[in-house]
Amino acid sequence: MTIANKIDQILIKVEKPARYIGGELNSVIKTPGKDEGQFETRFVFAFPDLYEIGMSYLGLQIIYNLLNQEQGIFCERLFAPAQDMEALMREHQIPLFTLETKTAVTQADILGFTLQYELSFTNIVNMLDLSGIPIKSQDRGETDPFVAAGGPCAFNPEPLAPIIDFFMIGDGEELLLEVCRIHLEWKRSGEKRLSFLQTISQIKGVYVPQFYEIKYHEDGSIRDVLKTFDKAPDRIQKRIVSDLETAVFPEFNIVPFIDVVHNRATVEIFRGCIRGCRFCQAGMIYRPVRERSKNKIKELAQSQLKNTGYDELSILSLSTSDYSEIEPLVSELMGVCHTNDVSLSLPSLRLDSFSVKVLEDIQGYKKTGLTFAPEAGTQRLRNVINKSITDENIYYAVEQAISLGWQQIKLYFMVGLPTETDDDLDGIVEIARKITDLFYKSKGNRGKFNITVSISNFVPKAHTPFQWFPQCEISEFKRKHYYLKDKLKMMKNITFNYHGTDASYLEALFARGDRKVCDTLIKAWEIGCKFDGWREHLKYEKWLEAIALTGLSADAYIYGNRNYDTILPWDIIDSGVSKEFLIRESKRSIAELQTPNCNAECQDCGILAMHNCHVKQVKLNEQI
Amino acid sequence: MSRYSIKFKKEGYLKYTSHLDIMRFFQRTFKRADIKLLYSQGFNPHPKMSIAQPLSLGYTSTGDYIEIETESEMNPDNIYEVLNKLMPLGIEIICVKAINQGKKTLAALVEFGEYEIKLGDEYKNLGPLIEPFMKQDKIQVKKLQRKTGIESILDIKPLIHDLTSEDFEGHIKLTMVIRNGSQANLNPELLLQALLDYSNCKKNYSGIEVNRKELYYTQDGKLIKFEDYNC
Repeated sequence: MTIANKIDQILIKVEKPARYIGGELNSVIKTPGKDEGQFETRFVFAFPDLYEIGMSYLGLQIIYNLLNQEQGIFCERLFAPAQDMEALMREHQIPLFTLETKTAVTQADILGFTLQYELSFTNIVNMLDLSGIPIKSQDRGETDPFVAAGGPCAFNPEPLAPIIDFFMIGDGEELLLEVCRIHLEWKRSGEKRLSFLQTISQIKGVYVPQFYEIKYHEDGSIRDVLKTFDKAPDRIQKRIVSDLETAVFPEFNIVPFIDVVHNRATVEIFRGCIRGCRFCQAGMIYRPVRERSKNKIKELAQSQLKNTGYDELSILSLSTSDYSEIEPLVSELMGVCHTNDVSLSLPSLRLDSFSVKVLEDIQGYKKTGLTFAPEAGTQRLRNVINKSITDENIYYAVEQAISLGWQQIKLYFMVGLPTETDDDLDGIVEIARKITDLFYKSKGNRGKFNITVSISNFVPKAHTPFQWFPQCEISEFKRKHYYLKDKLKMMKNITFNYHGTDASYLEALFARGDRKVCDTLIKAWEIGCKFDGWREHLKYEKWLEAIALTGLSADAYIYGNRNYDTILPWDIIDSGVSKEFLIRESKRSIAELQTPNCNAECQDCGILAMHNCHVKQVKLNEQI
Repeated sequence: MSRYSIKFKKEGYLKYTSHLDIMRFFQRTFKRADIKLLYSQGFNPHPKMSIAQPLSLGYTSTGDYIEIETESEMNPDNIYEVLNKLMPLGIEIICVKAINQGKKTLAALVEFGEYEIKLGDEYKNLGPLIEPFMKQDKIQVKKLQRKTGIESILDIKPLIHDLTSEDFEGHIKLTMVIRNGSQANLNPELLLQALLDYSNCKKNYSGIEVNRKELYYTQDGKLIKFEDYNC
């Protein structure tokens, strides 16, 4: 019986069976062969979480489009099955299969996982097991697929190094194509598995962990990295797509039948960020800033809307307001949306008088909430983290918003930031209190008003100025949460949310871990951990058991102080941002000094050694 | 502005999509086809588009209907052609007809649905039992109220218009015309269960194939196919 026949017997028994059927609008099917439109290399793009999450990720659409346009290559999709589906698949001995052609994943040539968040790592192990592919790289044979990975978490690849055959670091558009083309040639040549890995290790951006052996000091820290293949690069430079204008971008997005997290047309307006918030990994690893032109954005938006029938358009970037022509862009997109009878969504907008007015135009009487992310409660702490928003910015925008009729304000903060004291927590309460006062001053006692204060826990991430700082201890996180809860519960109209500390602890372990944490990961999966990013599925006790069983000193990774000379597990990856810059920024944070953004003044972050910087170029031109 | 009735098939893997999924799918399809639907008035405008009778998840259909109102008058043949070009594998447009403004909505019109159920040859003995089964004064089934958890006894005989069987490529095919719609509704699997109980067949019938073939309304006591809806 084929997989397709077998799943037909179980799909009716599972929740949301359409997660597993494929066949959506704009999905692609190819047949094996050497003719036009056929394929020889099967790349399976794997998102290690549910369909609804993975299908909302724009990167999937980019890669799917890109690879399926290429002669000889077929990209299929794979997601983590939900637990009900997994149980039935195991019961009926159905291996993990691709959405497009219901082909067993073992038939893939390359199985590529995207690493969007650390707490999806157990799902990767589980998906390999469900596929029947050996979990560790060293156990795979000549006929097994290559297991690859990319995405932001690949910037600290070490916790997955024993599992992944090769990582792809940085922008995937060009790199993935190069790797797949080499695979096509390699497959025709009939050479051994090792020769493929050796060949691609010569491509910029490819990291083959088995070509490096890590030597440790007695205390467990890294002493040295030895190469086992002498042609492998000393450090792996990330890949950068130079020109977004000509880069492949989806115009035929796959449109899911079921409701997914983001059901909308999406155009990326720029990559990178000028801000340099010191906690933010994305702000460091996606440098330099590269913009797409206003006309190209409009063209892509129109094309996507036409090909998908979506009734919502969204634009994507790390900080929408920093787009150089944001005002004309927004007004022109509003025109596009009006003509097509679709709504516009503008995430990551810095709230100032322009954006409040735009949001008023877009939302009309259907006002949802307004969101601010001050991240820290006092100016002092915002200086430490280099977040440039001020109290005045917040209150000014809030006053305008209230007068225009908004009744719901959301505030995002982090706790456990370096140098944080209770005064900074009091600052959070103060901001919430002042906003409430502003509302009553303007509206009297009329109308419902609500402020949501959401707290996340600071996790020190690789390649940021905070990479040397320890994470706040769990007990201290909890104290801070209760401290805020006690103060905020005295106030009316406040909803208070905070993240689980257990999840943050594990996130830090994998954000900062080296190769030794991989055994703990596999052990945790063996004793039942998966879907750790889902609060209802996270089994923290099991994780502690796995840590104990594998004898890992997890606390040392999470709370250990690392000095600037320590060899960090992710030093093998060159993000383009220099260590000197990160050290400088780290020191400035302790001195509570803000650093101007790239538009104001080049901070010499090091990226220029790897790639030209558009922002820097504009500055230079202005001076001339 | 104009009203149209669109008959379509939903088969293959698409049987795993829900009623809401199909609604969303058609809404997007009309946008892609640049067929401008009328919108309801009020604070939360909705496109004027409705499916005559929702189909259970897991069933295929070779006769489903969706009704739309468009901003301007269109040729039904054009709608048919434009839509069919945009259909994914599993959905097919069968025909498009204009309907008069004054008429009832399709959803209000539905009274009966015709279902086909394919069963394996282990159910072969069911055929001869159908006549005595249908001749009973009452056909009683136990029905569990989902909300209250109370089991009630229900006589479904008045909800059945017709039940027949035929041998079909080594299978047995039951065809039933039963009440559907907002006034009275019978789940085809409830009827199947009643028949299996009657035949003392304790088989677990999961994995059966159910297809809805057509919807009916009545006029002067006669059943009329939706496809023949007189405009």
